[in-house]
Amino acid sequence: MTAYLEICESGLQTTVQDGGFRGLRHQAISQCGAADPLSLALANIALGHHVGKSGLEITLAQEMANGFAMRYHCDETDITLRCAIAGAPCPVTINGAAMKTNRAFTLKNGDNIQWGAPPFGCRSYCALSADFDLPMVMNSHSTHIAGGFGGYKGRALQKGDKITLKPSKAIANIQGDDQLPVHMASMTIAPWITNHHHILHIIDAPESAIFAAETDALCTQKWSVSGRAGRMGIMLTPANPPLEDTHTHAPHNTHIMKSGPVFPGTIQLPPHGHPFILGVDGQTTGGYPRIGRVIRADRHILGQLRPGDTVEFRAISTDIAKQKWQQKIYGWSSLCAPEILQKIW
Amino acid sequence: MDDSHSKISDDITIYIDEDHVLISGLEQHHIDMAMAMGKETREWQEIIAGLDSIALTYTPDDISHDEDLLSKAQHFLEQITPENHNSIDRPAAITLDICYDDVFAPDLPIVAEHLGLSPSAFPNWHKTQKFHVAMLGFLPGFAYLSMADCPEMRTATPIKRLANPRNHVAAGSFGLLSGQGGIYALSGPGGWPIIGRIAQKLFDPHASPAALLQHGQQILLNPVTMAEFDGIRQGEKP
Repeated sequence: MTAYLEICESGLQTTVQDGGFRGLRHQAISQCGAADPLSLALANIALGHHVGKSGLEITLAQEMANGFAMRYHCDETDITLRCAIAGAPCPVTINGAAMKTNRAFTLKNGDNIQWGAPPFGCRSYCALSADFDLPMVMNSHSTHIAGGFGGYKGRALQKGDKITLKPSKAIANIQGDDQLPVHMASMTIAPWITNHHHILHIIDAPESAIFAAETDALCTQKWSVSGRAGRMGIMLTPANPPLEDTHTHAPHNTHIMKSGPVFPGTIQLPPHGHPFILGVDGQTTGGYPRIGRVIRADRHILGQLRPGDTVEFRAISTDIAKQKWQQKIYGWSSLCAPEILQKIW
Repeated sequence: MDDSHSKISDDITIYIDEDHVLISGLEQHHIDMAMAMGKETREWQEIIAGLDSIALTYTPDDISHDEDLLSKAQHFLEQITPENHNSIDRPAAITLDICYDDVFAPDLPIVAEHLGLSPSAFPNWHKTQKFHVAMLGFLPGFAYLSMADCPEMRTATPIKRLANPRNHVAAGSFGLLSGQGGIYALSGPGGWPIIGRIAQKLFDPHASPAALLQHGQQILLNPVTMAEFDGIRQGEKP
């Protein structure tokens, strides 16, 4: 049996991702993995899979003529492929027919599935019943784009790529109800993305005390997601810059510090003065002052921020941050055991 | 300063995050000791070096209280203080073949000039310097090197990053700044002045560990010609 996915339109950026590379930051290997791991988890849960099984992360931030599209091929035409989609609420069609959302569904040989731009959010996750026939790199299928390794050829998918699927029992026909379990239906369009405004809780970071004014300023104004937004990180600009002040630059910071460890969610203050939130692909060390960190419970939201969205920060203590994390992960316990979910989140 | 920061001494601060502890204000010997211990530690998930700090990561469920974390971090700090240094297990020195051909060393003439050397004298000077891996950061396997003091560096015009960083610096490129070196394990962007290229493969995602260079390792340099460089690269291909 030969089965593969043929990429017909690449979207803004589509990569193979799972839970990412863990415990390798001392070798300067970024975490990578799904930028919104909870959405990947939901898609996998819908198919009854481990939450960290590799899937496709499809980024569609703007109105794009062609979106992302792929075609399922299998030389044994009775062998179908089950899929589930979660994350940003993209309009999805199969062979041109609109899909109802919140469903797992079945692809037959030759079926074309297409994603359009979502009204809000920017990353959609597609889980599959079959395994990608890709080499595991450092225990992961995640794509390390800057390093050029992992995933499919170490890069984002391009039109014409063919990803071979491993023959397995899971790829075989599964009959039955396409409707997701009731308790999931309310969650599948991720409840954390309902509009273009986001509230992110933050804690202090190592240089917060030295940069007290800049740290306070994070919470006293609204921020706008700039065009520099991706898996590496997100640059913010003030949402409402003072009118008389539009041509002056943000205060120039000349603080000299030695490079030190940084993490996904770390908010850096580069010399241009615009806060930069590191993402899952962010580098492992940095020399800019660290003035905050988005808490673990909220970090999955970073994967859904798109240019033009607005952000409000709320400063909390590390203890409260831990409580929020506990509440959220135990809120998921009917779907996934906390000790499993925490490995990818 | 809020309760996430604890000042331990004039220099050293412990900062507690949700999933790691950062100890800052450290000397190189503390960090080298911490990284040497990192291979055996079961106390922490991972130990990550900065140039004057270390991060100790943990799973939030394993350690629930900040007081426990602070005392654990303090205990770790005691273990990496100089009186315990005799137990340090440094990685063996590694010899790297380096080619200084013009093609691989676009910034060698200007760096040599800063150091008061002729371009032809530069390779001999460079290979006798003492480099240690001080941190892996920036890009996978990228090695920041500390450099022992030398008379040329003391009197040199400061060697700064390029005003216009390059979009593409080849894997193996050796960058040199005042008192600091950097080796690109993979190709990537960057503003380091490049003075040569290492022949060995420095990062292999299918090897374990993927990064050839390890923290604390001494780097010995062996100058090679372009032909020898090509031979070494060819030999590595399966």
